[in-house]
Amino acid sequence: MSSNFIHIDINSYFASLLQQENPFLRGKPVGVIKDVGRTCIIAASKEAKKYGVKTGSNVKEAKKLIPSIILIPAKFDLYLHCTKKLKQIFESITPDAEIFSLDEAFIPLDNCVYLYSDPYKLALNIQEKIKKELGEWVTCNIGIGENRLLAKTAGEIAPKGSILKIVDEINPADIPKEKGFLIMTKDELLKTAKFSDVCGIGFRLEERLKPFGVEHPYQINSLSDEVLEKYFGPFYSQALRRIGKGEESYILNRPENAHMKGVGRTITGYKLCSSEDAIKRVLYNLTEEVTYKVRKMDMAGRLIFVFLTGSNGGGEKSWHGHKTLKHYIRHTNEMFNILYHSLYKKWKRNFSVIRFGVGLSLLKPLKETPYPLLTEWYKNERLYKAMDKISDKFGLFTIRSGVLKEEEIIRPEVTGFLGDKKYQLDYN
Amino acid sequence: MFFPSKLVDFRIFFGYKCVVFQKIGEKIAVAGFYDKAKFTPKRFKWHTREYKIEEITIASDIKDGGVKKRMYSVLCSGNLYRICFNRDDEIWVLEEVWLPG
Repeated sequence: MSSNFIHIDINSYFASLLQQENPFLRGKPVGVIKDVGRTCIIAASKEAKKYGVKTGSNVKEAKKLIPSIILIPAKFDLYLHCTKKLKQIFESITPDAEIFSLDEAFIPLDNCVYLYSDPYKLALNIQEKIKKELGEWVTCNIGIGENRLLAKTAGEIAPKGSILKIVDEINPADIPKEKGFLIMTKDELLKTAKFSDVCGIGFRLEERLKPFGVEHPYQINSLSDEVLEKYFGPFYSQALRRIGKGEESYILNRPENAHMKGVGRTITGYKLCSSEDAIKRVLYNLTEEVTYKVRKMDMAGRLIFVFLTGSNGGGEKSWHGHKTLKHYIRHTNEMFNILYHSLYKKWKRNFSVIRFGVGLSLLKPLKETPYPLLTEWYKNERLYKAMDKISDKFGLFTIRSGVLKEEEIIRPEVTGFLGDKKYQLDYN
Repeated sequence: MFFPSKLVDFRIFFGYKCVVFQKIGEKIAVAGFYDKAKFTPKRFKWHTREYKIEEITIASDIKDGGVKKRMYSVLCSGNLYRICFNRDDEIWVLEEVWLPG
């Protein structure tokens, strides 16, 4: 089996960078939260993970596990800057390097096999380059495999800071002697890996597989095609079949040069909100960010969606609405009018809201969309172009609607998954 | 208020015990050298005292609209200082100081 992909996964990225920046935090259990007053830990340091604190843990739970845990707000500017540095490192190896998320990347080796004949040495070289560029405290796992699925799973299960290569069979001559270099067969990997380490199988799918006695990818092979299709549908049955065989699933095989299909933005408030003005303001704020990003990428979309999550005292409630238009839009007011009057106003207001989400999808480059006929559209386009120029120079929301005049603005931020990576890495 | 407009410094809020943290926000003078189109700060002067930079733990670029800033976290005599260079008006500011408790 040839080693066609290298997967790089920075260990505890958010927390490690804060520890790199501030030596007083090194070696101590650190929990990263989004902002002041937030109760969800979005990342934990290696030291905190040893005690069971993980991404998604509640601050209360974390404090029970480690009373001395240090809670630090995330620095998204720092993370995005470091991801851009990582991108430079990986693209210096091959221009085909693919940034998968804020702290993960794939390097296909097919086109650079003559330059780097030994993937182990290349992996070691990458680890050294990362340490040199980002700092001594920043370590990474590297997985090597014939496809992205095997390389990524290897990277997930490898001990911190090590390099794990997946092969069909282990020849004694292949066993690496150097410390930190590991080797494993494909079968062993598929038999031992947990679904939480396998990209493409989320928590809910994992729970649905449990009644069939399937807890590792290899066990999927014991299920017939009929069973898979009946219980998991035509889409997931095929994805699961591929994962069971150790083949790349649809999630990892994304066309890298494709433009973004949609832009969405969510925000969780500090407390439940039932004020009509506050909800309207948040929806407008998020719409402004979404349409700014769409215009920045010179695109337009025609599927508007909105969702709200909250509670009415009797458990979690949610509502969502969407509308597909016949024409493409990209102006804030146009999108907000449809979102607010045609979608939001249909909501029965039967719960208080804590989480908001809006988005514009079915995006297309503007030059590929039909020319609008209304002169009003061209007038608005000129207006928004002028506003965007001001935003580019002085920051988004420097010039803004009166709807947002009084309260604190919700500003753009990056996410760990880097769902808007095309925008963040190519346009920002 | 649904979203807090003024943020409390959270490290003090949560009883951060092992270091003393202070926001400063004062202008400073910085000396360093350029090598291969890259600036490396070596010393800075805050009020009348001069600080020798022993290590740059991390440097990152911040962008707010067209205003680009470069943030350096530096160690001087065991203390951590966060200094910021505004590339627009070319002013250096000492943002924060972290001292061992």
